[in-house]
Amino acid sequence: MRELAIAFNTFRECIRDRILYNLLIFAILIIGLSGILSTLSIGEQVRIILNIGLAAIEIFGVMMAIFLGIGLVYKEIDRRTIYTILSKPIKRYQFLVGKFSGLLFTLLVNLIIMTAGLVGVVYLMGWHVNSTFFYCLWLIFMEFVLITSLALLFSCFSTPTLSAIFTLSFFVIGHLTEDIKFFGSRSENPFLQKASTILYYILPNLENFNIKALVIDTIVRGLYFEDVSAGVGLKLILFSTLYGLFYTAIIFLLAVIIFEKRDFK
Amino acid sequence: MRVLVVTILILIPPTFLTFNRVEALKTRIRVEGRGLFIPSSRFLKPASLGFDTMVADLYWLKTVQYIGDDFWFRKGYPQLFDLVNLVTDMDPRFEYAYEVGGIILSVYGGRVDESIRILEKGYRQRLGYWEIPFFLGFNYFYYLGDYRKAALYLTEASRLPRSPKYLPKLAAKLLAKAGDPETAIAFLTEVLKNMDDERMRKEIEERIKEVMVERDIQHLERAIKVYRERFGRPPEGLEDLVSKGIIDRIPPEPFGGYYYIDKETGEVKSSVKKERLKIYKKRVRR
Amino acid sequence: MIRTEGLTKVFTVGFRGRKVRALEGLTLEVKRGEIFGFLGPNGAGKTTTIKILTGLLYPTEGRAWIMGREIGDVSVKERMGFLPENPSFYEYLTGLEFLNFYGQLLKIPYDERLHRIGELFSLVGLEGAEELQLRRYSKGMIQRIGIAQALLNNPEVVILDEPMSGLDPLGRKEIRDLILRLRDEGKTVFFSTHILSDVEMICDRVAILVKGRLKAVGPLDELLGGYVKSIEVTVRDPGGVFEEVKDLAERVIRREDLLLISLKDEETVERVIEVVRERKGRIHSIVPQRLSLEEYFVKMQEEG
Ligand SMILES: Nc1ncnc2c1ncn2[C@@H]1O[C@H](COP(=O)(O)OP(=O)(O)O)[C@@H](O)[C@H]1O
Ligand SMILES: [Mg+2]
Repeated sequence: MRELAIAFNTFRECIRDRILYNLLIFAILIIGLSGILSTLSIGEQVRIILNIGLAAIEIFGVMMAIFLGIGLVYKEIDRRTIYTILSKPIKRYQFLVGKFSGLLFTLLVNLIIMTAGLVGVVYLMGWHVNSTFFYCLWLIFMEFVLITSLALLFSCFSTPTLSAIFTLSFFVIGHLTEDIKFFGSRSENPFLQKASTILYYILPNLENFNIKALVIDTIVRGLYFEDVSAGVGLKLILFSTLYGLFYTAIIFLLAVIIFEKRDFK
Repeated sequence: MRVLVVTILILIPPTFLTFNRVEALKTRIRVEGRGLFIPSSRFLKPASLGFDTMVADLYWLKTVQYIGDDFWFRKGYPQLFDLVNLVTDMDPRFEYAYEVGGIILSVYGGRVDESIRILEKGYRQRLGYWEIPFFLGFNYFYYLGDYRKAALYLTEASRLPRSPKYLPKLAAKLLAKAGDPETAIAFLTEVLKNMDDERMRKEIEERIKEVMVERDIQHLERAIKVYRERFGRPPEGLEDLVSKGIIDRIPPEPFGGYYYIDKETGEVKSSVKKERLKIYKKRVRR
Repeated sequence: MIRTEGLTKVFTVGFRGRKVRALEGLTLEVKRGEIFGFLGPNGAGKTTTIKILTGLLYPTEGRAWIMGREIGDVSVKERMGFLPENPSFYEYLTGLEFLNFYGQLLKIPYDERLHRIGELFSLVGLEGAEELQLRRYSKGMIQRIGIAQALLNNPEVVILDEPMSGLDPLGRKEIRDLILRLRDEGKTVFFSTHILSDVEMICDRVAILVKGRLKAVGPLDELLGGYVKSIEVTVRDPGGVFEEVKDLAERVIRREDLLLISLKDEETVERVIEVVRERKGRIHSIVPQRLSLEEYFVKMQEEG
């Protein structure tokens, strides 16, 4: 209930923030543009629309998660609004839960808006989206959840600029962990080998939330996701989701530990 | 506070377990033949905001990883062309990508037309590296049996800086004695000299031995023909060729086996390589 | 109502880890229903103390209790109100949205919440500003809405950090009246200030803090009694008083039939009163002129 009040206020804060609209407008523009671009190449239309559309949704969603997430706690401390909030009967962790879920709700709403745009463009081009498309968006949302938790963690102890850099690096590296492992295993240096394996397991593997290739595959070939590899597809969604939730929970608890311990000077 | 730390510790094992599950599931989907998501360069080019070459590098890393993956090796690299094509769209001056992509596509992937498309795309950039026309020539010669085109590209390669001295001679040989296995051996030896990758060298060495077998068999069959003209009947075995003084010795089989005359067909065969190399015909494995 | 025991706060500043001792073993007790003034010059450690009491800072050493419960116990905050120093609130909210949000945090039922919010807007004199975004509020209005949020839950204990700072004299007076009203409702008010006149009229007791150390606690008169500069007596003079007191006083100001007489000590006050009685004059007021807090601090330092 108290968390809900904080969450709602966070949502209100986000939707009254100009950054959100700028990003959303850009995302919609690019998704719309994908329709125009696709008319240039006959035969690969849906491929191009989905390529551009899904990438735009992911990238702009992640940017929203980062740019709103880094200010989540920092702004409250910087503008001293947290002083009176914490003088109300609310525990610090409840405050974080509220802030976190408020931003997630904002991201969900934006994801729905962007998705509606993309579905519209796909329909206009005479194609239909399928269930894989929505599973893919679900995993993209899981990626937002994880990125938001990272932004929140950094925002608990660092300035927005640094937090943005940290979170952005995690986003980039998170998509390259498999490469890190690969090149580590190729290295002659045993230390590098060890380090790359450890990093591979510690860093979030954001490629686990990437099934964009499957979406294009199934839509173009008219397949159903449920059939992919005899049910492997659905299991993949389930376990990727679980992975995202567990990882997020750990990051969030770290944020709580830091937030509980700190002084508000 | 202790509760939080304990909760985190409790959460770590399931995180690992689900991570491993996802990894395993991804492999299974991959086995079904669904692979990487490769964006179109038409999108990636504007989206990379001028960091084109950096994006090219990142995708090159993915490409190298793809090449090193035994799974995709066995599958014959179905997406390698798309990857290299993307990398070279993003950075058209990425010579190494054309070269490596071109070689791997034909030598390992058996995708000769894709290999040629990539190499010719690189060739059109006029980057000044002799390797690109050289491997183009190799593809035309070895896989497509198009000696004239092969000789043309070799001549082009020989004009570029730092190209090996041997190239003009090789080109001439191609035009004059295209069907001679010695020409192929000379070409392959030249290719071998320009390979650093161990696996790749083995592959080429293998090819050289195959051509050597072809050369020996042609040599032995010529001797049998002489034998038949001289004695009016085929020899009992290859030893007869030596004992009757037609050849000095039976050449050693390069794979460590031996040569023999097939009793049914009367043809010379290698104990190791039963199939004869159809080097002169199209050998595209698709 | 509020009790602290040996509260100490050491800040670590900069990369070098320099230590700043902001508060040094503060032991204090505020009784139920009193207005308690927490006095001290800038940098004395008032805000530090208040932040510890409201759970924003963790003390390096020592403990504190509010309403018998150790700070950190969230249930205390249900019956407590707090106004920080130079408050700042969610500027994208309107006044009404803001109080409604905080009312939700306090789990005040909807109807009661609306009623209470309406009451508070008029109590702090912000009628008409309900629909205005807080970014458009002036400093005084922010201070007022800050007080309103502190009173939302009708708290038993109200902690105010420099509630009169940044206000004009009229605003200060209004806050003083409000604090008195809160006391009349039975609330305990603990507020900090660095200006003596803020506490003079209204505080039951004050504590004086200098450089993180508690210098004195008690009723203000007791504390500053020994430091009365002069006593000002105002009398109505029907004639003759002026001439008689002229030599007793340090200074006499005459305006028509009113005399403003500055006297040195209480003995002379007695004599002046006798003179006025004899002459059938009238005594309007007797006001002791105390040292300002600054003068007091200087004096304390002189005395060691
Ligand atoms: N965050 C902080 N870091 C370091 N020193 C601080 C911090 N906050 C306050 N101080 C120091 O602690 C002392 C007390 O400050 P404060 O409690 O704000 O005083 P007051 O509210 O009485 O003016 C001052 O010397 C101040 O410099
Ligand atoms: Mg202060």
